[in-house]
Amino acid sequence: MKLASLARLVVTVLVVLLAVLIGHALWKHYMYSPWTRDGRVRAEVVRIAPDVAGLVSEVKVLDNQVVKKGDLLFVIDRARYLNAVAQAEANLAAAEASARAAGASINAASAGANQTKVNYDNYAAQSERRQKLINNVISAEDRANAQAAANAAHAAWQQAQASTRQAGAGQQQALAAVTQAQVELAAAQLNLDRTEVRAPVDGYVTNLDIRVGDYASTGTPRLALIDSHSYWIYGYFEETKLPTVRVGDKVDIRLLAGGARLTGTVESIARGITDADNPTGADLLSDVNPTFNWVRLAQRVPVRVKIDADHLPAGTVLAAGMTATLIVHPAPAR
Amino acid sequence: MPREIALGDALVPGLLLVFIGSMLLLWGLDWLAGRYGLYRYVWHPSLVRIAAFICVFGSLGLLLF
Amino acid sequence: MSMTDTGTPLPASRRVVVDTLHEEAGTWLFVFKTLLAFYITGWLAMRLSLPAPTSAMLTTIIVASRQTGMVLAKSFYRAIGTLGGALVAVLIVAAFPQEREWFLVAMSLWLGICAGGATFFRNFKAYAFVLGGYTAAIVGLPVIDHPPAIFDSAVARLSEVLLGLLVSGVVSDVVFPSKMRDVLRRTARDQFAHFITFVQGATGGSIPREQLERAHLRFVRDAVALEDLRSSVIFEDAEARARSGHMELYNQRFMASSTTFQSLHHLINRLARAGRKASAQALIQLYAPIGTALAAPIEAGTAAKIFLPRLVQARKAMQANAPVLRESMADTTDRRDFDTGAALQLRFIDELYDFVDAAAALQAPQLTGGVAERMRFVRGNDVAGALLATTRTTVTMLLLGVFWIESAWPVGSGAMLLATVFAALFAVTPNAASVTSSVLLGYVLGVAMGFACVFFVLTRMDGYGLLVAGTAPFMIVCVVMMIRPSLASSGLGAAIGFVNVVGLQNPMVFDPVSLINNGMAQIVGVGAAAVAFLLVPPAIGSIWLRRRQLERLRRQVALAAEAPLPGLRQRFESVNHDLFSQVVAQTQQGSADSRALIAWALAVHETGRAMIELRLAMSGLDMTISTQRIMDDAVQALARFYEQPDAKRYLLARDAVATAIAATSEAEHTCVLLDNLHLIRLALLDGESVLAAYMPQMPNPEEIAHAP
Repeated sequence: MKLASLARLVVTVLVVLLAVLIGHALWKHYMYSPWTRDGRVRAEVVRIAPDVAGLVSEVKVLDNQVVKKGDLLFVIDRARYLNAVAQAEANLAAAEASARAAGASINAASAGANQTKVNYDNYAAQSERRQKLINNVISAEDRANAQAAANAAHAAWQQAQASTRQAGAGQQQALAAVTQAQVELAAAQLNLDRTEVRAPVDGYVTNLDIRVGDYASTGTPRLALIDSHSYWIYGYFEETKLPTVRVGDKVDIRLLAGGARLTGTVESIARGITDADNPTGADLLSDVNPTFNWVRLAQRVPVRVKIDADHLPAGTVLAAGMTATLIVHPAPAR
Repeated sequence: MPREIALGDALVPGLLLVFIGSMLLLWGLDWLAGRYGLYRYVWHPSLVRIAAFICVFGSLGLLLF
Repeated sequence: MSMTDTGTPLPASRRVVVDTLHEEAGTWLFVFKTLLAFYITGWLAMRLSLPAPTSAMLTTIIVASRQTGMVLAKSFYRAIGTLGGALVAVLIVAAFPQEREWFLVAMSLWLGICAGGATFFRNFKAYAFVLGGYTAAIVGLPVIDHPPAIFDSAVARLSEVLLGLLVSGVVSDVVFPSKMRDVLRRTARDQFAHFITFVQGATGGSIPREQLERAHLRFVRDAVALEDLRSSVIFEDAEARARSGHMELYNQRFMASSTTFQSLHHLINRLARAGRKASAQALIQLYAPIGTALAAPIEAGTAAKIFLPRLVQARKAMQANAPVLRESMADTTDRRDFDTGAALQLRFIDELYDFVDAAAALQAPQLTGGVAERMRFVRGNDVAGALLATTRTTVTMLLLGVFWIESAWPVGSGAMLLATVFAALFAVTPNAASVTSSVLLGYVLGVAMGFACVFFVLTRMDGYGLLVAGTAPFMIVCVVMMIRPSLASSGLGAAIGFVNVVGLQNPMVFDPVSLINNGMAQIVGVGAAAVAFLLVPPAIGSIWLRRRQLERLRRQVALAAEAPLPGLRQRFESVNHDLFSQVVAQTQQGSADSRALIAWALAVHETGRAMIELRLAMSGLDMTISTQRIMDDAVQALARFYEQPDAKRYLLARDAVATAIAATSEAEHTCVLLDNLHLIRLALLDGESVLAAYMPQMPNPEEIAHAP
């Protein structure tokens, strides 16, 4: 009897010990091994807004359509911008004409200058001759007159020279106006080009909120374009599990959708989350919760996981916001 | 074994299913033990039963995850 | 594992001390286990960040019980009820989103149905209905204004309750379990020993009617108690579960043989009273071998097996003695009476053998083979009482709902919730009004303690350890109250009130205004439930229901007369026992009511059983069509008489039985029916039985003597 009861005790204790070991292992595995049910697929989203305002004349894509970089998405009514280009072109032509006119006036001015130069030379020679005559041959008055005429001719020559320079400046002004008109044309052309809104990246059109006839104003997003090369996953890991997560660790990703299995690597770990217990109160003073948890609970910290895009199973549909389960396989300690 | 299973649009952790499975398994074991009086060979039947449950559940959990 | 007490006998004074200590230890063990489950649940609920740790903790309080089997059985049905209730809540909210009026109507209806179900089933299954009702309310009411939250609410409630149940179950099963298996085993042994001793003691001669009535009461109580125990023990013990079928078989055989035994003694009594000493004496003589066969000491550890060969021998001896004794009588009437008694005795010894056999199988360390036929203890459940409960609960809930909507009380849903919970919890209690009143008192106390605890103690506490230290003293008071029978309902109220008002949360929110508001609302809710019970008392325990049950008991004879034969004997016996025990539990012992009731029960029991035996015998015979019709007429007349007893129907029944006896004694092969017919006739003519009131004015004692 003694032996039997001892045996019974031993059996009990053995089973209980085994249970404690297995239970502990499971608890550790489940609570501390780095895995989380709380993973979200994320992606970079380009919010497409038109650069120019106007009526929408054409929408070239459907919602959720795949587009390549440079594909036409939608078109703003071009008429106004065509007009603007035409106007700019006309302005340019006018400027060019003025430039040409300015060139002609330079020629005229320089011809005038030559004429006054000849005049002056004539008068100057005349005056010099008169100054050289013996005094009685010519009166002093005539001598002075000749001198004055020469001086006047010189001034006229000088004036003509200045006119030439003025005409030159006028030409430069006209040339500058030409350049200005060219730039305006380029800008008008750019606006015209920008009436065609094109995809900046490869990706998927989402939330297409634009119809032919809408008025699209500058800078207001009208559709989202999800960059198809930018998918990543945020895994929200409990802080207790973080110590085993290292950048570069391999990650098994299981999407909730159909249980598709993906692989990935830990890309980075967020270095900050908000302190939920400590919002800022009035006057920039902190509003600390006066009570503390009876039982402390772990916060969750986002870990960014890069999806191994080369090994996506065929037919996997990734959508930003999907739920995923992440299991990190810690690299052996180095 | 997926860690999370959708049952009629409700997300259920896979471990819960393992738990229910182990309950059923244990119920069977318990019936056997009761039928053949195996609990006579232990000192504290209910403790052993709980321990057996933890063993079953723990092993299944560790194996499947 | 023997039950014998190996200790030396203690002196009386020391025994008192030891008993007191033992009882105290039991109390404190209960307190310890309850609080252990309570705080483990709380910790786990907070660790798993469930939205309302309080309701998980409350669950452990509600299922707390000294006996492990009770906890497990309660938990099992509570889990089922909670699942069902959550499901229904989701359905109701889905059906009437943002339609508060229709929602409340549907909810009240569901609560009513659940109260009805609980009244109908009365045992642990009732608990599933109670829970199904108020879980739906708990899940549905808070989200009445924002239906999309229903799913979360349902899942949260489910997880909390299941967590509480799991922890309670494990703690009560593992930490110093107090097993009812031993109680069951002891009860079965006591039942066996008592019956055997009683039978053995009765072989000496006739037993007075008084004693027979008492014995019947005891037998019925034993059978019902055994069934009650069995239905909860199967949850705690695998072995008991495996033996459950044997246990049911044992109980059925017990009921069968105790009925036959009583019939036999009523017969002997009647013969003796009618002055037919010869046949009575002969029967007592014939009976003697049973007495000798059972004259072995019944002690713990003695296997019932030893009686089996002795009973076989006794049967042989009786078969041998019967012709001799029969020859000794000259009068044919004496012989007729003797034949009836002898047949009854042979049936009795066969049933006794089966009963002892079942007991032996139960006591055997290893089970041998399964149970050939599944025996079911069928309960005598009452539809009308359930309907009444349904109506009452529905109306109460509707009124409360109307009050809530009309008064636009912001915390009205809390009040309604509590009213629902308590109206459901006590819907099946006989004196619900007084119980709810003491719960109300306890609740007020609990709220006061809760206030003190939250604002004077918990504000200084930090961390779970100190939380336990801060709340445990209050909880201990509540739990100790719970275990004192006189304070039990107040204690339950105090515990629920305390836990509800403290409303442990992670992190804790200290808000005096809402605490007082909620406390008031909850007290009003409990008060409303108490008032509802006062205004519309539950059917259980009312004269109306008792009268219905008595009617139902009498209608059992019609069941015996008309129901299909397979399994009828078990059905008749178990429903009879259950109904009888219900009515007995609800009448004052020794009152006129109680005596009339027992008298009716005996008559129904004896006649019904004889009719079943008669029908069984008839089914194997081929009779002429006229005999067949006469027999059917007799059976029908009896059934009608028991359904609505009056003097006219009595005469009809009596004459029909007499005709049947005359008809069957004509042919040789129908004589086998005579024994049972004769038995029925003797029971009908018994001047001491309850039927005497319907007999013709001048009861003729010669009637018995002249019976053909």
